[in-house]
Amino acid sequence: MMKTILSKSSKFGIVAGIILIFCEMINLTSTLAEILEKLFTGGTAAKNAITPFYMGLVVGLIVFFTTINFLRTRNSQKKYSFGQGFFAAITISIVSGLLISLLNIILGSYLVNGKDVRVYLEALAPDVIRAFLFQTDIRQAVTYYFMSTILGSMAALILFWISQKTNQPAKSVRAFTHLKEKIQIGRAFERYPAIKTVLILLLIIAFLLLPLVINAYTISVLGIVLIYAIMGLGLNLIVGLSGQLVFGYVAFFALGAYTFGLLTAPKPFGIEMNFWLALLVSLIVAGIGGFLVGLPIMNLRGDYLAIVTLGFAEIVRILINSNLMADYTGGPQGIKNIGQPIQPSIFEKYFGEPLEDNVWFLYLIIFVFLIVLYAAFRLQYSRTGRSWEAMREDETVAQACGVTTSSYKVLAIVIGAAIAGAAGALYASRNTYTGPSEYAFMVSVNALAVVVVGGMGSIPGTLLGAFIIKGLPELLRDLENYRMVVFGALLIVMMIIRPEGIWPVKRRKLSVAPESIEILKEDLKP
Amino acid sequence: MDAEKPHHEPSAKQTVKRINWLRWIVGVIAGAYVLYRIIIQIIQPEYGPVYWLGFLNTGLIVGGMYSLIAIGYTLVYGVMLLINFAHGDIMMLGCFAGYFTFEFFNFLKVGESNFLNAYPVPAIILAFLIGASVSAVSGFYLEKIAYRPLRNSHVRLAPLISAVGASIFLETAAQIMFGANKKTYKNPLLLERGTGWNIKMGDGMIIITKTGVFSLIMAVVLMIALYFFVQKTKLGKSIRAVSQDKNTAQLMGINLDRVTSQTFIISGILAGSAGVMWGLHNGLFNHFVGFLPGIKAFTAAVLGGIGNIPGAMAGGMILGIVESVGPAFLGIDFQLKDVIAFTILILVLILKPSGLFGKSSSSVEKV
Repeated sequence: MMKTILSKSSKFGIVAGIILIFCEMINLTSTLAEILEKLFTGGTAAKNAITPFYMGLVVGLIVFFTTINFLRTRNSQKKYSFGQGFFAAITISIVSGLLISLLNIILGSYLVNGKDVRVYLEALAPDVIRAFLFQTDIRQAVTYYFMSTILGSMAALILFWISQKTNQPAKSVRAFTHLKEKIQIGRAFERYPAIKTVLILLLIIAFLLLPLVINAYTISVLGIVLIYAIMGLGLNLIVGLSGQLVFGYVAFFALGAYTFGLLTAPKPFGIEMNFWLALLVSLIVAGIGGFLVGLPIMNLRGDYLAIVTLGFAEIVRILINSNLMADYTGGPQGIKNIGQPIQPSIFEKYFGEPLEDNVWFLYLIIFVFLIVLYAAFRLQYSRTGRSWEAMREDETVAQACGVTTSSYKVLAIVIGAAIAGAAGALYASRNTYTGPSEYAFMVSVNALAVVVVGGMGSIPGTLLGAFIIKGLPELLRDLENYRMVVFGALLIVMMIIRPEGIWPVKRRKLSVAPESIEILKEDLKP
Repeated sequence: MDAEKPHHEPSAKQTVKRINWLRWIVGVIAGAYVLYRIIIQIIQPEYGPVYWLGFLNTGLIVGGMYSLIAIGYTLVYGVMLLINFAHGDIMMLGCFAGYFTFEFFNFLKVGESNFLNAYPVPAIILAFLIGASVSAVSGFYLEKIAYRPLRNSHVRLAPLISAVGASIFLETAAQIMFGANKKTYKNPLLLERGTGWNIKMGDGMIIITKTGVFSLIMAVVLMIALYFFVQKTKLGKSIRAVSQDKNTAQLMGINLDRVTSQTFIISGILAGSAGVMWGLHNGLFNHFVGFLPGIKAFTAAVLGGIGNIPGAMAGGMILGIVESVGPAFLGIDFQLKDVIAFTILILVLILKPSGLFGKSSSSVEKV
């Protein structure tokens, strides 16, 4: 028994140690410590001087969560006594402390010898290592890390045993369900549909008044979030509803942006078209792009679309960057002075003075967003939407039910691409500039993350995802560098733990009134 | 699959009928354009034969690396029916491991010179071993962490999205850890980049680099070894059995989990070797090194018929050659070399989705 506990818990200790080392190597530990310090000391902490105490706190927290996880998973299989749990927790803390200390000893000896590890590990600046090592006092640092890992695992152990003895989490869950049953919000909605309508109307009005009260920075963040929400709604049609995976969604975004730019910028063509007309044209061009990409994979199953669109995105990116198209797209310089819509004079009449440009543009984005949202809702619950869902669940069965899968596939891609084109046009117009560097692969990944994190096929989920993916990182500026790492890990974890997303689709249940069943039975009697 | 055939056949025929016109139009246009360019090249050649041989030389070298990566795609696809999107990043990890090994040997002092130049052959062998094993280990854990829990997921796209997540995670973690700037491989003097044998031909000269010859030989040796491994050993036999029919293979006593893990290890070894070769031959690399070779190797795997190992080898070679000959042949800018590979991918999917060496279209239905 002891032996299996030892091997299992040391495995967990190694995992915790690897996580610790990884966090230190990408400098996440000190960033987190900085955030914690700001949080506790009220934002007075000076940069570049992180107290080792907070580093230790971060280390302890990571070990804490690993230990809790270990105790929870193991205890569900086989109950441990307190002594066995203590033994496991101690093993985890010692193993992980050993690993993190080893790393710091190595780094410290390099630092003492005057070598800069930044040549190979760019994130680790010498002062960061110094902060890790208490100004290169290695012995003190090692003691400190062991202390924090042991404290972390002990805290986890005690918390776990308290929650076991008092049965607290289960009680809380039960209390929560009781509360939910008592309040019965959903029931009220069902009974009085007017409440729902009024609430939605209130929400929309609040949303419409929002741009008038927030500051310029929040306006720009909200603009980005909404543009990504538009993209997410488009991609949701393809990935969430029709079940086709698109990796190169940025291609359609770029097509829309460049078409819009070429039509409204003074150079190179000097057409300077009307905003709405240009928006429409860029939407159509992106849709045609989607059609061309959709054709070759129309009668193929599965994952080819993913790579074909990825290739298409690369083609678009290379072409707009190349000398071949430089006369039109401006090559690496991009297109400047892209047109913005003119404010109608109504606003001036009502408010006395014209709206500020960014507020006015935010209203424009909100307007397009609401149209796309409405279209997405209508599509999802239409015959087309149902065909897409059938296709997503099983292509063969969908075909047998009379869904022409090949044309519905292409239709999904065309509509999704057109929406992305509209988003691209808005984006280009908002920045009054568009260049090839803005259309990297990462934009596609962001759009995909918006859909997946929120919930594939769920419209409110997509909106939530857009806020989480684009809004939260803006609010947590300190963690900016780690955004993509976290997304990558998040995509994997979401697929394993909760593949339906944070806000999954609620299936409509088939409901039949009891009386009608009786009538049916009467009818069916021979 | 055979039991389900009657369900597929009518629909497949219908769609094939509907798509035929597209296939014809695209095929005729592409064929006519290629013919036109051939005639142009014969009537008024822009480049002499020396240049063509030079292009062929670069194409073969790059093609060898593409083949090695493409085999990884094909093997994994055969066993799991999954496009291992993170495969290019596995190659990137191998590239980094080789880089650090060479840097370490460069610092290691032996007598007056360093280990790298005192014992170049063991240094290169060790670098390949370390690069391959780092890639193999990361492939093994990648499968264990990101793919295995999803094997029976009810969401069909789950493994593929997980693969994208893994790819982004590896790429950005490497970027933060090792920095985004490009690094240079330290080659031993024996295999110095850019040096080689100059062969005079007419009025021109072809430079055959040492690294290029080494990479090509290494790639061919690895491919032959893999071929015999898959054909002759017990593990190879079980890999083939699983890719033919998972359920029957399990009934025959094949441990699916083990075979999957081992497949990832093998594809990791090949990708890691390709990564070290890439570094030795091209010199400059960064965290993004695996992205383009990864997609192109996938193109190569599709070109040769996905799931088909000799097809992937041939596909990689063909893609490498076409890519380096293409810009000159088509008379376009060399910047657009990457466009050719993706155009080939789209053309193959339109004209012959089962690949050049693939079987009939029934296997495509499964895809």
